Amino acid sequence: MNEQDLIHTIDEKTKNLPVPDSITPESMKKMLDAHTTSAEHIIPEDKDQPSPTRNRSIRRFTAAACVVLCLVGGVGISQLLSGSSHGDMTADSASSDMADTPGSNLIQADESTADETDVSVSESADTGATMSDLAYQTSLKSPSSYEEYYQTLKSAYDAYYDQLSQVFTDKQTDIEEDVEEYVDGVRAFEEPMNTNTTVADPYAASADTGGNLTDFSTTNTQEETVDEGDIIKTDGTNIYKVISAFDNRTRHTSYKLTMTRTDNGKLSLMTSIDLDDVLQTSEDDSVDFQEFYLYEDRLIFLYDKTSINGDDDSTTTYVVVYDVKDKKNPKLIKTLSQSGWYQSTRISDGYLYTISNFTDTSLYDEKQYRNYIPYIGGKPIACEDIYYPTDISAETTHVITSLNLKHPTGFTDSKAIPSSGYQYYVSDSAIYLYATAYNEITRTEIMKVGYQDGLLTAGSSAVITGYLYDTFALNEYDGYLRIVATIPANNIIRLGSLTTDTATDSVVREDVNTLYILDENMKLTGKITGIAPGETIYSARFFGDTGYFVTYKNMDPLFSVDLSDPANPAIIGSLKITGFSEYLHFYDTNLLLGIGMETDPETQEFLGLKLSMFDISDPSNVTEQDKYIIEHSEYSDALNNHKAIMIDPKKNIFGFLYFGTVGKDYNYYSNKYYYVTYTYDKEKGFVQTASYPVTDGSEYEYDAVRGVYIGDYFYLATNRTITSYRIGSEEAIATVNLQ
Amino acid sequence: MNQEEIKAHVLLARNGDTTSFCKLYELYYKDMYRFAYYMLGNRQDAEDVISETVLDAFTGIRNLKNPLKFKSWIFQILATKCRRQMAVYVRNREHLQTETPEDRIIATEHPYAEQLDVRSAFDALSETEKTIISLMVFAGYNSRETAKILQSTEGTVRSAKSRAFAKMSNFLKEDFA
Repeated sequence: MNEQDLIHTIDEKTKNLPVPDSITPESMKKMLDAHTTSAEHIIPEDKDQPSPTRNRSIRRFTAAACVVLCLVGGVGISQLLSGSSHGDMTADSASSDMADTPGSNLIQADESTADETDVSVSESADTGATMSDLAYQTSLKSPSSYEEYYQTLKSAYDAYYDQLSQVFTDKQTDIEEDVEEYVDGVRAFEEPMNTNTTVADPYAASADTGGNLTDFSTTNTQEETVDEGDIIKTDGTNIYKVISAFDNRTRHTSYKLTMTRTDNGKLSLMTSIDLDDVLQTSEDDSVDFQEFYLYEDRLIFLYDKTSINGDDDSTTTYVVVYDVKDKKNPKLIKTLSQSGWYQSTRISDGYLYTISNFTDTSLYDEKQYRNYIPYIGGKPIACEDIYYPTDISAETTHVITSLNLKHPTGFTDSKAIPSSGYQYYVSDSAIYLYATAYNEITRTEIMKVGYQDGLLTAGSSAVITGYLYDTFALNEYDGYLRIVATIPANNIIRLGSLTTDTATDSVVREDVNTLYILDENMKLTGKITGIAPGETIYSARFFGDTGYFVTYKNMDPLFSVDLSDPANPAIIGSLKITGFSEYLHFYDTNLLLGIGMETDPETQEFLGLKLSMFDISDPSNVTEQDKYIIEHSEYSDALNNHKAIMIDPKKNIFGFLYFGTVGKDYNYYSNKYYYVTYTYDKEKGFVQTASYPVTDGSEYEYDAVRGVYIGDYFYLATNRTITSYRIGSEEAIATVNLQ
Repeated sequence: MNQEEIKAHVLLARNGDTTSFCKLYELYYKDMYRFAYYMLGNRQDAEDVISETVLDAFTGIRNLKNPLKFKSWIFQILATKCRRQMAVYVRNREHLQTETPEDRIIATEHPYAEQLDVRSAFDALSETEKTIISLMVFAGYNSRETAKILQSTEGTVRSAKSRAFAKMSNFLKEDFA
């Protein structure tokens, strides 16, 4: 059962919970009125001390609010707040009204690519696209001044509010249009972009190996050449770990970075950096440390900070670079900032790419750039770096920067792109921002931003039908983006009932899955539809021309797909076994490891965590070579956070933390946490080499547990300690206290 | 109600307008009640914390710095009150139900059997997990927003959420057979 089903179930089961009369708005108003009358002469002196500033701002806000009130009085709350009708608007009916807004006709990006645009437009016409489809061709432009940008945003907001009421009244028609336009499943907005066809230099994953020949584990990343941040890193000698401490009284979390030197199992704590000092927080700020990187001799911390300033609060993302050449004396060398909440980062080819989400747009004052233009290092981002689509609407703005880690003097490039996306996949040449709107038809919009040597190129986007189970559902190879998506059942029910006007539920009441292939301009080149009706996708992994993905309802079919012809992808094999895999990892060219759950095919009962090794030497005839069920196990973070898995197939080792019971006396309340390590042997199959009970800390702190190996030693790090073992042995060699 | 309206109502409520305040409350009270009911497991205490929350929110609305954060602000007050109430339960152990979640599942001959089902599932969760799931399901927050309300990090919330859902699915899964 996936989480969406669960949320839906709980919601369905509880939404008719009878609400007692005593708490209805009417009863509450009576209570409050009684309260205010009795407290009348206290309030004015005690609390009401309006400063001139506050009074003014209230009047201003109220006046502005009234205008809009009159415009959109009839719109339902659920639509506005959930943003669902917003999705409708961007997807289908943004066209006619938006076309009237100033600036929306300035579509062509640059002349050199005009030809390509023509071609794609005529292609759309051939496939029977409607006028509104053409109007929805999204291309990006940059404003010539902040004032122009202000006007564009303003008319977009006005149009947005206007649209909402239309969507509300014309719902029926809108759905029908959807059916027509999306019958093909995918639509690309043909925005020509400068294609980066460079092959990235192979980038040594995360550490400087100079002079150090021992092997060691690195953060388990989705793409081999693109590093991801985490709470632990090692360079083969030192282990860097961020630990946190939560103060229950002040509700403040403080963070420390610790550096521990390892020497064949011996441990010594070299130094620790108190991040509270680095982050310079005041009482009114709320700070979230996010993750960090180790790149050569540099540590890079990412955090965001929300400062409250009168009526407004604003959030800024910070990048802090430390030089740790001298382990005893780490030196702060650079702090950089960009507007918005921290979203995600990657390191590729020596550059750090940081994505933040600027949500504080407010259009009350055209002169206050800070309220609607993202700032980069204290300055508003340059006009030419702002890109907005012609159907710009009341979305949030993503800020993407690049930083050369060899010379981190300032951001190499920065771009601001309004986009609703809040999930990210980064290949070795592009950043993909995507977001799913769960409306009558569930759709995911994917926007592509190319990168090369720190330079960012805002590119095309596409809308596909369905949702993506996580970032592993996306993979770019040879310029093609491959996507597996699930279209939830209720979509189809509504479609069915609309077209036939009868209850055809029994036929169409099923989830269904689709594989899409988009080219470098995000145009659909091929797809496979109608995969595994009644099941949803649980995991996927792509390797060159072959893709594997797992769907599940009662059984776990592992599908293999031939992707060598992007126009004609084909399912070439499916293996049905019990349970399902939630994470897939290529163990070697012939082996695919699956980590998931075993279930009883009859009752759906969970029987514990399961490891599967698939023989993929012949993708059309995949077999399960071995299966290992962890007895009395309940759950592991490995199922949905790939960074929680330590894995190095070359060393033939992997490990993760799980929650369960070791031994015979099993019941739900006997569960504890264990970190387990495994190897895989062709003859013997999976072999559990060690199991370490992890007991320290509060429940929260188990998320901070990580394992790393260096040479012949395994190091188990918690939020409080690091303990060393010889790989495969359960006998502790040394422990160091990090707190 | 759109954002501008919410802003306007918050500003009016700051000046003591109970009608405006109740308009805002009306948007969320059903979800607030579900939240309190499943956090605390009984109706009377849920009613009480809601009343307290409303009173605190109304008298303290000047502390709400950003009017657009009204919803998360009032849920934050409610969550704090629920957690305080749960601490009271722990102190007075006699308030705790003596039956185990397994016993409860059998007792489904109740008019609101479905909701009891969910209650059993909630009983399997730790206090933190309960808060996270309630915020996500009843208040409709995503991991990031939940993390902000609980002043925790997104990663922590995500994994606590998955852990909680894994536990709950054991109680709710018969619906999927």
